[in-house]
Amino acid sequence: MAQITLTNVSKSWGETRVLKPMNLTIEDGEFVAILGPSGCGKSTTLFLLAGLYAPSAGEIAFDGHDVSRVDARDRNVGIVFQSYALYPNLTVRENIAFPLRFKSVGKPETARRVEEAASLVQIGALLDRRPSQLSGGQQQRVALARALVKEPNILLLDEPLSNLDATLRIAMRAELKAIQKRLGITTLIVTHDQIEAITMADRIICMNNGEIAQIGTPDDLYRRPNNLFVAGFIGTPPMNRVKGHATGRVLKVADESFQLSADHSGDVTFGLRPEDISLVAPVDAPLSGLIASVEPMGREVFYTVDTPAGPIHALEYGETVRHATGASVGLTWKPELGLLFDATGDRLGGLHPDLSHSADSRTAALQPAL
Amino acid sequence: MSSAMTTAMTDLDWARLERRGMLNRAGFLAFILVFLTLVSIPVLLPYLWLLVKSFTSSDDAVSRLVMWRSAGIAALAYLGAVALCLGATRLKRPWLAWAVLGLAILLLMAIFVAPFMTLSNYRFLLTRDISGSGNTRSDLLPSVWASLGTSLAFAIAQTAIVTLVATPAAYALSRFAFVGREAFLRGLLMLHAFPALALTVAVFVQLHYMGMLNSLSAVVLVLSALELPYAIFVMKGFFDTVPWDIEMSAVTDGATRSQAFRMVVLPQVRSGIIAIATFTFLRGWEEYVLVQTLLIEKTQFTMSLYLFFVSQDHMGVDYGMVAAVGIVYLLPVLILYSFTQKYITQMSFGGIKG
Ligand SMILES: Nc1ncnc2c1ncn2[C@@H]1O[C@H](COP(=O)(O)OP(=O)(O)O)[C@@H](O)[C@H]1O
Ligand SMILES: [Mg+2]
Repeated sequence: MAQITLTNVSKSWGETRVLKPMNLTIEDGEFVAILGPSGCGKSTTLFLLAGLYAPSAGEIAFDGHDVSRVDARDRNVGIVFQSYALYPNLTVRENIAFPLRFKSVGKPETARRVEEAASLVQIGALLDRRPSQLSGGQQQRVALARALVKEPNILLLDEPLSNLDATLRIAMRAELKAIQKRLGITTLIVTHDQIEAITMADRIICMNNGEIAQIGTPDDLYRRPNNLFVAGFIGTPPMNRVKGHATGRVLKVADESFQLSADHSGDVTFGLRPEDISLVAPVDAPLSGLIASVEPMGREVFYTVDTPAGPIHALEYGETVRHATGASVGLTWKPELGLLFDATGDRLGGLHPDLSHSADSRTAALQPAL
Repeated sequence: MSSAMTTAMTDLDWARLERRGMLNRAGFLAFILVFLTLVSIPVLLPYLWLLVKSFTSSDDAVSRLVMWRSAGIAALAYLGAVALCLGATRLKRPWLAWAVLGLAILLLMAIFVAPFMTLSNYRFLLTRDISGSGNTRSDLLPSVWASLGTSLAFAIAQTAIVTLVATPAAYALSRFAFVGREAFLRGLLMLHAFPALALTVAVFVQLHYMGMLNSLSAVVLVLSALELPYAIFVMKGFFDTVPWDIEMSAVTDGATRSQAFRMVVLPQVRSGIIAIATFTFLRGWEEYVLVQTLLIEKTQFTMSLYLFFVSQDHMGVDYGMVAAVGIVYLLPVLILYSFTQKYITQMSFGGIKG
């Protein structure tokens, strides 16, 4: 168990900078997800922690001790690779016991710990098979047992669920989380799947282009995204984003004007989650339009509404389709759920457009665009 | 009424189509069989005749008779085997049919071929005086066992050198990105494409200046150098199939790089090592030109030199004995292949899947 601190850690290969200087602290026993699109440097971060890559600059510390120049084999890190990386020439038992061969662990003790790790991930019956005789889910469990058997300081999981089928993935999500809580081991899981990150992790490190875009709880990232990247990356379907311009207390979006809760000037982007929008009668709404498409999705219905501000997506819970294509509807939302981002994409905290329009364009909004 | 008629019509149609399908399949099978047979004859017949010849006396007429008879019997055996393979599913006890076929062939051999057979061609296994005259020629000729030993030592030494050098070299080429790696790989291929014979004179001169002519170890070194590029190239292909993850996993599990190599990487390229070892061994075993050129004084005979010597008799060549020596020369290769062929066939896949 260990606390992990990264201070100005960066990584380049030759001229290409893969990770920009990065600072973060992961508390002892915390379960943290690294979330980001593929190629953004998630695995690189993990391999830096494991010692498989040396940082180009900066310091990595476990419990306050600088380990930047400690060999991978001495860091006592458990890692599950995306490919599982099982040793094909060894049986499951030998695979799990492999890390113990390099520690002074006696035969009976090894056998006991292998059994223990295997039963933790429920593969006690498979110990004498070869990796090639296992299903993907079983291989993944073996990899996890092998990572846990050495009682590592930290556990690193590189997209452990991405090769499993959907049902198994959901089951493993809960199981991984339970195992982590039970062992209390500091864990980093890499994923490009936001649902995985949100459901499992205490905190999420959202990365983009070799940079940390935001660190925070799942709720922070969902409700208070630092920037447009996080806002767009978290949440399905993605947040509606509409370009506009603010002058003083007035926000102009297309032909519409809204009252702002505070002063701001410059180009802005207005963000609103589809699930935060309610479809109402056009008269009551700050924004209205015609329904362009209706997609029933089981538990919810996904609408696309053509408004003067462009197409807006809205998600309504419930199975019944309440509006038909071509119907005229109004869109409304809780004002504090509408987010504003400045021209560089950073969120303008505490700034929301009011639902009541600025006086000059009220009539325009009432007329459905046609 | 009308629907019943259409059904009848289609039933007929289907039956006709089924017949056509069966005919097509049978025709295709026949074509494949005939083609493969025709291609195999020129490849396999020499081996049969070599074997038969090695057991026949050198008399021309007898020799011809035996060769044609054995070829005839072999053809019968082949046809019988093909028929059995095709009909195997319909037979209740296929092994019985095979036994009958085997017995019949043995009987035919015993009646038509065996009376002309002799073991005398193999007398070189027991005595150095192969022509039975006690002349000076036999003084020059070492015992065949010594030659076999020399060839074996020669091929094994070459195999050991090539395997021990090629494995780490290929690993480095596969794993480490260094300046000029691409050029190096291209160079390897070019070296392999180079006709080695063209080098003979240069190598002769070089060994002469190094004072290493007439030394078997010098020939081993030269041949190893010639074989290395290909072996490295093949081995690199095998190392390329071992995922980086697996090695890194071993390192995080506490292994050193060399332990990871030995315990995790090496077992996965075992087929590759066996393949290059086999090929190198065979190259060494069959080598003739360089041995002939570089061992001027012929104090140590390899099997290839021995075979050549036996076939170089100014008094008239004893072809029966040449064939017998050929068989003895071939035998170790066959044995080696039967052990390693299952690994060599994997070479075409460039590695193994876990
Ligand atoms: N060994 C390497 N040499 C050069 N570039 C690399 C290496 N490993 C990764 N990269 C680059 O670093 C970037 C991030 O890779 P990675 O950390 O694997 O991304 P991901 O977030 O998908 O795990 C990619 O653009 C990749 O091409
Ligand atoms: Mg990755």
